[in-house]
Amino acid sequence: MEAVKKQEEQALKSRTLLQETWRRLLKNKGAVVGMVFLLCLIAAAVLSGFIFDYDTQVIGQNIKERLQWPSREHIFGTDELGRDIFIRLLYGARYSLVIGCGSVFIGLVIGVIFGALAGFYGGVIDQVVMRINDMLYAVPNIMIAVVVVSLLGTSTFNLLLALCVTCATGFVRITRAAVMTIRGQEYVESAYAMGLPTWKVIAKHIIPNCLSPIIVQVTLLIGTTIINASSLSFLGIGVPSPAPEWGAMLSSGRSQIRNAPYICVIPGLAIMFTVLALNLLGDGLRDALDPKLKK
Amino acid sequence: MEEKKEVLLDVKNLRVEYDTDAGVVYAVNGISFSIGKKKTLGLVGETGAGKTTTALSILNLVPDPPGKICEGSILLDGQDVLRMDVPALEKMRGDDVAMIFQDPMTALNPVMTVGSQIAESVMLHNKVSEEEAMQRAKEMLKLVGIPESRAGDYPHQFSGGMKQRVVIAIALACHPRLLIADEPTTALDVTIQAQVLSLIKQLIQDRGMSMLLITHDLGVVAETCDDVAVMYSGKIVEIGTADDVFNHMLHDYTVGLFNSLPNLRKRGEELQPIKGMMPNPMEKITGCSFAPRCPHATERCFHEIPELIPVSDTHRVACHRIQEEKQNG
Repeated sequence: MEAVKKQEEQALKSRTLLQETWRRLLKNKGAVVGMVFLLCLIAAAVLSGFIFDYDTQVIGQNIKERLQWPSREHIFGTDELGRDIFIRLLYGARYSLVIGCGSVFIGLVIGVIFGALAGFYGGVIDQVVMRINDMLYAVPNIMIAVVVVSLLGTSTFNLLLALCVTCATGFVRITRAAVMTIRGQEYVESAYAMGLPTWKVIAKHIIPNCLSPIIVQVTLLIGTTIINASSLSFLGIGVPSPAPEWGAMLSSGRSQIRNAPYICVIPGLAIMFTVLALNLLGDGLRDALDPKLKK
Repeated sequence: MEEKKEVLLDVKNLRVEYDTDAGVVYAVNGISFSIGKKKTLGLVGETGAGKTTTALSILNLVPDPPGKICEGSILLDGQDVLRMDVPALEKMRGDDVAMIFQDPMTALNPVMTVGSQIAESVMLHNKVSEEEAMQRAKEMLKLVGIPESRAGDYPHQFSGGMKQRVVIAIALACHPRLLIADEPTTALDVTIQAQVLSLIKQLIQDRGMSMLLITHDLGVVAETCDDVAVMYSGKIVEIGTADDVFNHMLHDYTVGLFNSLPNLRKRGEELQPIKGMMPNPMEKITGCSFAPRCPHATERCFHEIPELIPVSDTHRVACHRIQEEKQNG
């Protein structure tokens, strides 16, 4: 008995919470595939800047080679201005990732702060924050983005700001709900009894315990935001041309869709696979972080 | 109890209400007690008698809203806890008065290592570096019988009894003068109960601390406490030394409590529970709150609230019958 118990304890001991989550995440094939794809994408985004010359290879026009179907020379073909789609696609990964991660991060900070305040204090603060949040939530997110961008002008940074509004509303809801359940836990009460000031109780004991739903939301929202960013670029109010943003690439191929459909299809597939990878990772994380599955 | 010498905590006429949507709940209705230095007071009563509310009041931690401390004073070494400002309260909590909560399963933060949870308390009240605090945390763990090497583990890697030891380590990390233990053994199984209890008892003695032990387990009280207060429906009905209350009990509620315990000498006999239920705490009671369940209740008991009257130097009871008997000799 004693030996078995000791062994069990040893086994438990060798894993921290983080390692435990990681181990369970690796068991999920979808999540691993998603993670590998995203790592490749990040690598492409980072390395493409060193490998390719922006002025000649990414945006440099070459009319002689326009509208070539995929071949050994241009594996994804060339677009209507003779630019290599493969190079543009790799380079474009950075726009999607920067806008996706950037606006989700800004939305995360704003959303978690307001969500935590609303959930923790309740009452009037809760009402005010949540009603404003409901208002923003009720307006279609593309519309908010269109308004913001048309007010501030088109640039990558403005696009990022426009999209973070949508992200923030999601985080406010999730954080508020999580904080409301954690607030009543006994360890929060015992943190007070220890003499911790309120802000420390929130920052050290409440928010860290709300992290799992927030982490899952981050991965899922990055996907949504990438689609939104591409949609805006497709409409011509996202990243200004000639930058190789995927949505803008897709949009520019529309006029040639009969004789060169690959110009549209390839960036479209890139968007689809990226979002799919993020969703797979998000699902995997949700399962891995779910304490009910803990053995 | 009346002597002024060496009193650490003096609660006077404490009244706490909860203002809920359904109405006002009278949780604690004017109780007074004191705890001497290095003494242990057991607060006994059934669920809902207001024991935990009393404990939270001492830390001025009654959730507000809906809770409200309406009246009374709680003097800790002469200073009124209820009139302290926030910084003073934060200094007092954990440093002067520490609390052990009922359920060790939920009293520890699941995402922090136990070592850092103990160190957190140390760093909060002492100007020490993180390493020093961690060192103190490890010493505390050793003191409660957990190997130092486990300081880096998370609460889910501990068993219930060990978690309660960690909770005790957190509570004692800053050498408080008063320990409030709110049913520290209720959530543990019997063998572990005894271990944890003797650990608390020993640490309290070694450090010369006072303790308020809240429980509904009379066996625990008998083992640990110098003084005992019996609480019923937000009031203290009987208070005295452990000997007074256990061997010379007077109040019918206390008698009923003991009768409802299994007794080795009366094996096979049925237990005698106290008939009826505790009164609804949302009704304001005009007489003795125990009267509807009391076998000796008279007309007077329903109309007049009995005061705590002394029957000896240490022993006080709130009962009209006892008072009358005493007056008549």
